[in-house]
Amino acid sequence: MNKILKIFSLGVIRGLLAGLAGAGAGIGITMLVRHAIGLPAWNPGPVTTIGIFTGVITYLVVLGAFNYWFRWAIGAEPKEAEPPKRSWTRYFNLDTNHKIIGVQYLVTALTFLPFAVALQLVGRLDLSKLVSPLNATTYESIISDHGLLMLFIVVLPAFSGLMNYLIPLLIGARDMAFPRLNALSYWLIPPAGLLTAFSLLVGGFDTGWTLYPPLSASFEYIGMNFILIGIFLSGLSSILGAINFLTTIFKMRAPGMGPFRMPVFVWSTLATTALTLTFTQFIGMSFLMVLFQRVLGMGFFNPQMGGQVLLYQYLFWFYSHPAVYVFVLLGLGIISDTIPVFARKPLFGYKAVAISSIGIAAGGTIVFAHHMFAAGIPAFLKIPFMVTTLLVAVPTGVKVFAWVATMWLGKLRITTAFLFVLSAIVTFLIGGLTGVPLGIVPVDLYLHDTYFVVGHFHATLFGGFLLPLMAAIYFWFPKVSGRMLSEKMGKMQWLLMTVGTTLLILPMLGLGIEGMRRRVFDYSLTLGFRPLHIATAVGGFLIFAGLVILAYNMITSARRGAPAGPNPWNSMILAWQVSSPPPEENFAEIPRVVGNPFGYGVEGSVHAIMSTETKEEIKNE
Amino acid sequence: MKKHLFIVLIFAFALAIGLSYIFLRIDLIPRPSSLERQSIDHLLKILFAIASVIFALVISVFVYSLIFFRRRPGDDKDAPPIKGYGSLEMAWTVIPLIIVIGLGAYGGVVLNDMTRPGPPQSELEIDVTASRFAWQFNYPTYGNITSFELELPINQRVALYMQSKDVVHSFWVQEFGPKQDVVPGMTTQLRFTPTEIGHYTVQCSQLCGYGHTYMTAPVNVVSLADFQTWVQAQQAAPSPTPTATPSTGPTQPSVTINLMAMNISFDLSIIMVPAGASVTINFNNMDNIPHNFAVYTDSSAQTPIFRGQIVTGPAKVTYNFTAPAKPGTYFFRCDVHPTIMTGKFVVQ
Amino acid sequence: MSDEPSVEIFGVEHVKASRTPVYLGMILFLISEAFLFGSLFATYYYLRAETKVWPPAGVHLDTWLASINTFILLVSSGTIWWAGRAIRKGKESSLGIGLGLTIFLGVTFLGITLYEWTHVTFRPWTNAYGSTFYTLTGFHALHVFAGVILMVSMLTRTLRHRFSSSNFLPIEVSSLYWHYVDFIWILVFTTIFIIT
Repeated sequence: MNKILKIFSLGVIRGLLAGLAGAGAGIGITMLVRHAIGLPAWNPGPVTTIGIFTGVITYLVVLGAFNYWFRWAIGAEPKEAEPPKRSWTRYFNLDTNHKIIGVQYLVTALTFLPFAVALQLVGRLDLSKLVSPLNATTYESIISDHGLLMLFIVVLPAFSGLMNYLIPLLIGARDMAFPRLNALSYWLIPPAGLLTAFSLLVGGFDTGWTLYPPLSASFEYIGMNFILIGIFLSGLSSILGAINFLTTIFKMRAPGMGPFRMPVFVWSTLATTALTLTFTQFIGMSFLMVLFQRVLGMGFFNPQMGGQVLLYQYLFWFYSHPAVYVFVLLGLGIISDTIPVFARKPLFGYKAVAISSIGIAAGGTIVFAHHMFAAGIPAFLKIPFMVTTLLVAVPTGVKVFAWVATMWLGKLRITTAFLFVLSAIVTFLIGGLTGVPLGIVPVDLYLHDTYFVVGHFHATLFGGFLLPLMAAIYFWFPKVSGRMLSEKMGKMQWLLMTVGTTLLILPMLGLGIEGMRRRVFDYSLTLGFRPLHIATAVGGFLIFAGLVILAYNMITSARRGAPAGPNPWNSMILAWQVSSPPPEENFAEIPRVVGNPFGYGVEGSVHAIMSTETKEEIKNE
Repeated sequence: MKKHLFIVLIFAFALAIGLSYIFLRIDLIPRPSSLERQSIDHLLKILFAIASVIFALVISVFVYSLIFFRRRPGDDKDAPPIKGYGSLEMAWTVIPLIIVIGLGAYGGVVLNDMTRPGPPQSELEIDVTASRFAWQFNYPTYGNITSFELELPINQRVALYMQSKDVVHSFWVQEFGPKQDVVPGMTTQLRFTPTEIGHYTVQCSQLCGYGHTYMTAPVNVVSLADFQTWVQAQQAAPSPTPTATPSTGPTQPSVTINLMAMNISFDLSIIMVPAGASVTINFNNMDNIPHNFAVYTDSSAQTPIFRGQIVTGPAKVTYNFTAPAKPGTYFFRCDVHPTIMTGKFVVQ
Repeated sequence: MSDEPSVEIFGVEHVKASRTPVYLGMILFLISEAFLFGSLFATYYYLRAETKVWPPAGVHLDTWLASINTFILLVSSGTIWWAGRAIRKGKESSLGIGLGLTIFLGVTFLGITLYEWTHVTFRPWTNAYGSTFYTLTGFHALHVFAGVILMVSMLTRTLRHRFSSSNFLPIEVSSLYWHYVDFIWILVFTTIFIIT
């Protein structure tokens, strides 16, 4: 009995229960007020929307996210912070240490990942005609939820997790600039994910992840409201996180760490968070406008009320295009930092690679209308956006070429992490090259809304997110847990996922060229699409199998893996100069940086001096 | 180093030439049937050829490194500290820049040719109305005839003026090339010139709800003479008469069949009639989108035996025609949803 | 953070606010909010460009009242500036007065805004113009409201003697926020009431 009661001591449980209670209270009060002012008490859209808001706020309050700030605001004496005890319960409570928060983000993302993939596997079975056809709305709900979950509940939080764990360790800081804000940013994600997933249970929605009005604004799918709020929360988490990361990088780098002595991951974080800080507001506002149109009858996108349908698309894509660079820049940074460690060779053209991250982010802000070439935009916009779209290929190419140049003449060690980096490079190359036809307007007018687009973005997302994430997991797991992951299982997972990715993406590109539309759940067998759909389904299942192996590997290695020691990869990066796992405050003494972290091959090149007493240096021996 | 470079470049060039040759020769996109498709197909070939050259170069270095630059067992030293090479980095920044600018210019020219309105009177203007989940076509220059099928004369540039009644849809005929969204509150335009006689399908290409998958319409590209005939038939009888075959004689058997269309399917997948019979189909369209009943000699639907009037449900209509004299298995379908609503028409 | 560069202000050592992480955090937050308002301005101007008659027929705006509101906010920027100068010299009571005035002006602004909303002839659901008008002024009012809460907190802390001539960073950060909200109002006012 006692053990059961102990569960309620966990912040997350208290918070979620309180959130449900708060939602119920909100619904009840709204119904009373509606009744009092003469409206029908129950109207699913508005009432559930308010319930969700009150639920989320109650949840955050009970979790304790606002406790410190509230006390500060009323001028009370600050409470003495208790020294945290090393315990697994820390992960289920509000905790301000960036390493705890980083793991929380990653585990949450990795928990939603198989669910989101499984959703789409059902869709793949339908398209392979191996099961009886799904109901249309069910199919559309599945693919739409797959997209939103993957982008906003898996990719963004997974990268937030990596950035959170790594940035202080990479720049020689003890924690992030705003630890409490950091905790709040994380705890917005569980309700975001639950709302997004839960929308399926309340009837789903049928608009694709892009939620175009008038379709998204018109029909009575409560699931739509859940999505709009859920994704809004994820976006808010992104923005708050960006404030933290930018301040941390600008203000808390170890002395001597000038811009060109930072790992590429830090550059990628700069570029990514500059985008998330700013452009996320546009998708937040466009979703709010749809919500207002649904719940309050506003008319932004309603031509009969003087609104404009295309307004939504402009606002939405103004964020969602830079967003895709957010989705891949960190993965590309991971690749750039990992190859040198396993090639024992400096990153070729490091300065150019670092600047290309900024170039891609900046270029990515002026290409957004290429999602709208067929949308009815004025003719004079099409050519400029085509040109800017093609120009972004240049800094992207710089990265890919630098990677293979780093491998050239290296001494390559084929570890699991490196294998994933290799798959990522090839996959991303295909993704990038298939972006070019989509950027050329007349060709896009054929390929738009076909599986070619789906193949293109899966290639870029696998190459820029999922495969580098796997590499990062194999690379950093020893640092986080103190133990090595099994290389044997890792290589098995790698094989399954690489074959799976290939089987998934190449047939999609073929289907698109042949003319298969996206977001449809049926097609005529005479068109010859079926074998390609079966191939993508097999690919999807192989990828899922890889994830299962990953889970097993992580769980068993955490207990029984070989002890890792501080620096199993013999890397020069600051993070590998402390114990595995790192101490609570990361560095006993803030290091002094005197060189860049890629000094492989040069006898005695130094990245940093760890301690002024012992003069212990991070050297290349 | 020079030896490695020599070998890898040879391999890279061979691969690049091989791949690009393949892409320049094969026809990637099936069923080209318009002038615009010629431009698009040509551009796509060039794009794939260029992509395969870049791919070949990168992959060759990649694979070569994986084979020949592995760490030898026992070798714990680092690799040579090559930090960069200015002229190479300059080259791989500037050359792609030139390529993409060139592609942009070429694409711009093609786009201009494809979309520039022609001189007045040179284009066949057709007004298109999209709604959940059907297409309707109106011919303002031919007395405002309205049809659920898009009938077009060959080699005539078409200018579509499109409006939506509800949500965003998109007009696309895969064989003709470009697509264009149909947006409420606006009139959008699409131009193309069909160059092959045949039957095609409009497919909605912007998710518009549960009926999106089946929001299709038939397109018939015919000779100019046949087009004029069609126009006259439409103008004469607002409810176009089915193609009639002469009845055979007093001993002609007759048969009546009840056929229902619901949720974009027929309730019968096989219809059996005696040879030469006078067939009456009581057609009940229970969907609120257009359907019809049509019989062809085979599933290619090249030779019609009977094509019934397209009606938007809920509606009932009676079709009358004569079954073929020769027994065999023929093919029936709904012309609006030609790939989904099909069946066997068996003559005994 | 102990080796933050400091400056001398009125004879007292003080960490230069603009160098602290908290100040940078506020600047970043305000940059983000610029994009929030940017999306609303983009909406307003796009709809205006695509509509023949804008504002639609029948819309009458009380520009006088809005001008008064503009004046009120400008004065409130003055009062918070004056309060900031006071605490630099250690004058705690003047800080409190300045904060109190700022709060009073902020609440007055909100009151007038509510009055405008209830006295225009259109609602957010009347047409797209109404939706845009209420959303733009509404989000701004929300920011003023948050600013008022922030100032109330500052006043509470002042009354509990948490600020001194060497410790007033939160006042500087809050002032920055307040001036920003004032600046955004100038843009909102110009957009809605001046450019027609």
